[in-house]
Amino acid sequence: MALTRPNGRTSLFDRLPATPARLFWQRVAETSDSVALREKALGIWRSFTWADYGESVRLAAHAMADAGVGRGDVISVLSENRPEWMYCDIAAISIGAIGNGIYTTSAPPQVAYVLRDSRTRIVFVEDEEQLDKVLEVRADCPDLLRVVVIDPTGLREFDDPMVETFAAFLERGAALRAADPDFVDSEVAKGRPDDTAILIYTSGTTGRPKAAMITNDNLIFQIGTSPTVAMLNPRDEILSFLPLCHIAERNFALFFPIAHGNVVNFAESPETLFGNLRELSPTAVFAPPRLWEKMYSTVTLTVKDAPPFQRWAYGRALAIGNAVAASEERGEKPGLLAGLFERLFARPVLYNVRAALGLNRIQHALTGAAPVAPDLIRWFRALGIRLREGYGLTESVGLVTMMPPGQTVPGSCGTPPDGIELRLSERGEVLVRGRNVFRGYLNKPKQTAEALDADGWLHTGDVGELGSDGHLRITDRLKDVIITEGGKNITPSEIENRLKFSPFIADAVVFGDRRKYLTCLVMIDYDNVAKFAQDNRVPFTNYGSLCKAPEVDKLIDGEIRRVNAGLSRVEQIKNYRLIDIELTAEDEELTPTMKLKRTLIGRKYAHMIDAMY
Amino acid sequence: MSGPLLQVRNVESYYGPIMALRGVSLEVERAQIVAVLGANGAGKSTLLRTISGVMDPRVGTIAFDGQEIAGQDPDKVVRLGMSLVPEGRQVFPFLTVAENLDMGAFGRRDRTGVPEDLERVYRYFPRLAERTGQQAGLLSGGEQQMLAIGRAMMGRPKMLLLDEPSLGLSPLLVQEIFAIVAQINGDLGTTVLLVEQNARAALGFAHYGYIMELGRIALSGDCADLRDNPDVQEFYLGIKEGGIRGKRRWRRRKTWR
Repeated sequence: MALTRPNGRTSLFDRLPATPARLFWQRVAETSDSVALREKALGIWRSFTWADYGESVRLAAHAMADAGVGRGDVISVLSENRPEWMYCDIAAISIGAIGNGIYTTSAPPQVAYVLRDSRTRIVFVEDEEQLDKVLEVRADCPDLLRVVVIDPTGLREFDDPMVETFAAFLERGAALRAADPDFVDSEVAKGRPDDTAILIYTSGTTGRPKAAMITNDNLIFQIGTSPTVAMLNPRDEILSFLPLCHIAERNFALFFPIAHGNVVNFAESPETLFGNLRELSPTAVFAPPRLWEKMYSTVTLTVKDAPPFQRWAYGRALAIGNAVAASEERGEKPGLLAGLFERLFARPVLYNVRAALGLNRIQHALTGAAPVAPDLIRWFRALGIRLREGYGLTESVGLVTMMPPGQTVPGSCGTPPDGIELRLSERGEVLVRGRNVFRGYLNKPKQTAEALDADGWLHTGDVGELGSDGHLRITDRLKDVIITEGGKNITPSEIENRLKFSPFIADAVVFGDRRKYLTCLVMIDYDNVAKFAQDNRVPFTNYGSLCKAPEVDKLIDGEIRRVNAGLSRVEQIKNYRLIDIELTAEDEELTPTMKLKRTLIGRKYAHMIDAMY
Repeated sequence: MSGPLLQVRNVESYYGPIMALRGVSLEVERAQIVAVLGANGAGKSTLLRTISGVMDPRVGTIAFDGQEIAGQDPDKVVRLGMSLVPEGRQVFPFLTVAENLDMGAFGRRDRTGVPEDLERVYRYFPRLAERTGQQAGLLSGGEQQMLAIGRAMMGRPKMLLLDEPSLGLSPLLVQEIFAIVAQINGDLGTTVLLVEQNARAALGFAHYGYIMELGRIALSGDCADLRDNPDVQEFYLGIKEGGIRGKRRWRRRKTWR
């Protein structure tokens, strides 16, 4: 189907080839000298052009095939985001193999599970640490042929016939290319739209993770929607910091930039993210709500410590911004005076806030992957940033809906682009159909049949509402809906969102299924609560003792009361407990995007939950 | 008086715009030996400097023997019974051993007790008694450390603050000095707060320990428990398994649980 933009130009769809691999090689041919990737090494940004990118991919593709990776075989990457990650993924799809990513926070048994389930032939590991995981479990992975280490620091004396460095791997590729220079091009030409291109393992809140099989055509369709949905254009600069194993980042930082020729910058590490944001000031950021919440709470708390004049200016500017946002939300044009105030006072004042966050050039602030508190969207709107919420899942190969540009409708996930059909089942479950729907789970016909019906509808497992304006509102996960003893249906994520909007609450899980009332477990925001403790002279030594401080208990109690005030009686939280250990991405309680896993938390903290009833 | 001898609450200290202590709270019970461990730049010395009055905290309170001492001048703090043994000894190099010890009694009003205390220092550190007339700068590192501790003891302190006493000393000397400090603590009931990088030695003889990281307390507990903590073992005691290759170089992420 061809999409036509309002100005009459033909859309990207018409120019897209049948597979992302072909698109990549077109890009390399067209803009070989432009910068494609930037990576910081020893404090200095290094750039790689599309020609460099293509060269590395080509050599990797030769070496992969030579090592025994055939069409339909899987290669896995166990690394943080870096150029080599992308080289391996594109090399795989170029020779008809399947690219897969493994979260670096995975423990060895999880790595073993993914390698076995996907029958990975070559695994690319980032460094010594990740290598050790694979070495520990390789005896259980009969299909594994080779391990390639991207950064061999510390491994000089290590010698193993199965393991080689990425540099050596590419070197072999160079020799092979000399012998058969047309190999990659002919393999690319063999690619068909319905070949599986990549695997995405879903986080698996219940049971084992499942690998979603995503085809070339799925990716091409999503790439085609990127100018209208994500509104990406060739001038956009991207900062890549979410795991590439996740479909959102894979699309946003790997596949979309191929279509537009964007520069992708790699953040040094999750710890330096905010520094890298300020340094690069990217024009497009896709991040889960948690990151945007963190920005909000940082600003709110920093302003509290600012000198009186700055505090006043921020307060006034935000109020003006809020007023403009509110009138817009009602569908009115802001008054002349309010508009003038916003332009002449609020925007300049708030410019520094945007600059401090690294958002002074932002054109596309996008979020998804979890529900967003409407107040957060309003705050960013007041700041002059339209945070657009989308809805999507792995099985829909990314976005299904996105807030249209220029609109801010808090609580709505926006509308689907042309080509994606949306409807609700009798139970209110959101169903999706279109070229973006995945082909099924690897090795899991039963779960595939549950997710995809005979008519091609994807059953998302989310409950939502479709407005007459075409806007989709997501209420909750179908299986998360709480039915209290009194028979009331309650959607916990709505309450959790309101709780998370507090700067002191990093995440919360609400319980109460078949119980008399609702309770929740709270994970505090360490930095902000520590600051509260400092400001109020509450002595503490570490995270654990902070959670035990009575003043902190009172603080969280107050936050919960504040949220309760806006809820109906049955929705109110009657009791709560704090999770008193600091959870990290390595802990099973958190998803890779740092959300608490409801089912697991419910099981693991059952004693704490029971104690509240 | 009951309660802990030293009570530090929410202390924040700065070097210019740089925040070195980001809210530290700790307690030292009477007659206890408490160790503060941490890597370079964790804020250990800053903590001792702040407690002893060399630096003033911007936020927080420090109560010594029930009296507020945050922001007091160091000489006042010394008179209250707290003596700092600074990092790198800092003896007066051109004064003799005896003169150095006399400097330690400078603030004393009861001059009559001084000879008695001097004798006691010589009893604990017989090496100093052998070298009373020698210039301090000509002593070995270990002897200088003994002299610095002896000098601090001349103020008859209730509490000794030791800033990295093991720095630059041979393992044998470290053992010797720690044994003497433990003896002083046992005999006289002198409370000791020491800051150390040598975790193995410090956890071996202190009663209670705090681990500092980036200006904050990351973990605290009885030294016996700290010795068993996997993070302390890997990051402070150098105990780690070699991993699958027997040559593991990478480090686990610290969780401090």
